[in-house]
Amino acid sequence: MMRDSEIKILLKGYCEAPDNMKKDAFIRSIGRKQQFEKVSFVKMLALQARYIRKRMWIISILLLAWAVFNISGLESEKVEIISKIMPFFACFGMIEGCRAKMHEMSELEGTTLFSAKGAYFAKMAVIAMAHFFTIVLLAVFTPGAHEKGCLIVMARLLIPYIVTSILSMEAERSIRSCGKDNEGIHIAIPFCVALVVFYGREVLYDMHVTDSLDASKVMMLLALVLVFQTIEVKKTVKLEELLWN
Amino acid sequence: MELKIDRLTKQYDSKIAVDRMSFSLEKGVTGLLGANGAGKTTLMRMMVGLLSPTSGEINYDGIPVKSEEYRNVLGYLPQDFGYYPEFSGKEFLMYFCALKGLDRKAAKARTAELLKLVGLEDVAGKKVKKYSGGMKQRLGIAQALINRPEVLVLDEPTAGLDPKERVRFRELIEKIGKEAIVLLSTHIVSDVENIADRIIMMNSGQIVWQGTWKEEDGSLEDFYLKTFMQ
Amino acid sequence: MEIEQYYDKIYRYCYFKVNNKTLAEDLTQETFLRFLGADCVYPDRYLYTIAKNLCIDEYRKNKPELTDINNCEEELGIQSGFENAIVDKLSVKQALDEISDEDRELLILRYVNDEPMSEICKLTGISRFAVYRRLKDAKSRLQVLLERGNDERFRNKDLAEGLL
Repeated sequence: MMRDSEIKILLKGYCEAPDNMKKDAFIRSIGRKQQFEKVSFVKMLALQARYIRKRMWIISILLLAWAVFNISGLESEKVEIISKIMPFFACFGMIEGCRAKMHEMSELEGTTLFSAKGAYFAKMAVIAMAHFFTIVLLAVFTPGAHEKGCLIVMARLLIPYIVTSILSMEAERSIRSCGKDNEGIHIAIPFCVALVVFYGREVLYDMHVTDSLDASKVMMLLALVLVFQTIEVKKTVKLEELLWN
Repeated sequence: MELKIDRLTKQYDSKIAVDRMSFSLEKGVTGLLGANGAGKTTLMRMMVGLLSPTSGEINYDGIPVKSEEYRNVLGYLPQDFGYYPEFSGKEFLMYFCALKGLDRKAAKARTAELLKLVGLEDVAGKKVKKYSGGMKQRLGIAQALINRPEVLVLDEPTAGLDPKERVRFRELIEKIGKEAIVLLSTHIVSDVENIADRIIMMNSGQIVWQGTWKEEDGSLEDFYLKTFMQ
Repeated sequence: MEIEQYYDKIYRYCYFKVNNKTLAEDLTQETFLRFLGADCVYPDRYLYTIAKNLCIDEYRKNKPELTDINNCEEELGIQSGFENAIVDKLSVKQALDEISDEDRELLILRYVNDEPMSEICKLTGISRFAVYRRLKDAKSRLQVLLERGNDERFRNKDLAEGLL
């Protein structure tokens, strides 16, 4: 007995394809689709999520697994260690977000329904949400977290992350406005920034974010950092080339 | 179906890339001729809404160029374009189908249709980075046609095509020109001589000459060179 | 977006009824022109109905065969489940001709246009169970006809070679 797939191939193959140009001309003559479906924001996010490389998700999961399962065995100050990794985590996020620009696809994206701005921010939004979710879980599962209070731990993880993100976006904007667009720049910038934050942490550590410091001061620092991040995002949105699109 | 450009200007600090250009385009193929650096790409980028003009206006049937409504009927092929390195030809088109609002099923059908149209159905599964220059260009053209555009803007579309591909491309453009506004820029005169209904010659951001060109008018190339010598 | 989606489906539907590419295209376009005037809840059902009626009208007008399959030897090169036979277009056409109109319609809707069962039931007005059973019968009938046609071809081929 023939399989369904066989009969499909048989019958579909029998049928000659319609003439493309004729079809095209007819569809146009019928009249433009007066209402195109505006692509919803959720759809935008879902689409971009599909094109984010698997390595991004894998890194997030590995980080989480490492914290949850106590893999490295270093008992002391797990929180400290993880927060040192945050800048690089952010760096990966930035690189992933910039891929379209990196690979010179953003011009093409700019003439679609999404627009360049739409595509870029949708991608960044997905990454930010995924990372935020990972950080929240880290804050809950990292050993040593509960003694300090999950919110504080979350703040301590978020601060280096956001600082890296701010500096990266600032750097990227300066590069864009210069008009120089080298592929390598989009990798180099976030990475350098991550390194700066990483080493700069030592200084920050001594100055602010230590155990003995008030929880309230940590939260204030987080609030401050969030304000700057918002300003940064607003500036990027207002970026000339993205604004027009 | 009219694309109106009114005193369009683009100025970068001291350099004026596009200088008070005014013209309008209707259904048919218009060739934009000019040397490299004449301002063709800048003009086109403004026409597709990627670049903001310093002054002047562009409207399509009253719709501003900066709108989703306009982008819905627009197809654009830039001079250079890229792709995610992991993309195959098919995946590239599927991605842009999605960005142009097609759902998965429609995207699949349209991708297959377009690949056949530009003759890439045999290499659809191959990675784009393995494509020859001509194949990549054909892929770009396919991308521009996804949403059956009413306005098709092509920046140096024949670069990298071999003679056979050039002929095929001309035939395709001619057919589309019967239904849509097509603007293609080039610095190779022979490309437009046969297909374009109208020619606009551009130099230093300004229109040097515009009009129709027929076979009996003689060699377009000669005229072009002469015009630029002045 | 409706036209985009349904053009090919209606085209194929018409093609199997009239066996002529150009005619199928014209009928498809006519279907859509008639459809556009109306306001309806289920566009695809309405489209199929219009197309069906147009094909019937066409058949009444032009009884004689409208086949334009000039390349009858064109092999579809399909390795079907039965005896690795290569099936050609003419065999398929002949087999399809011998199947009843209703069965052929079911085959087209299901296997060419990939319509879901629920849709087919609504379009034909037959119960799900009946559709399932009739499709099964139609499929095996088609297979038998194709095999028979294949046997005949080989027999004819042998005959021809025997004469040489």
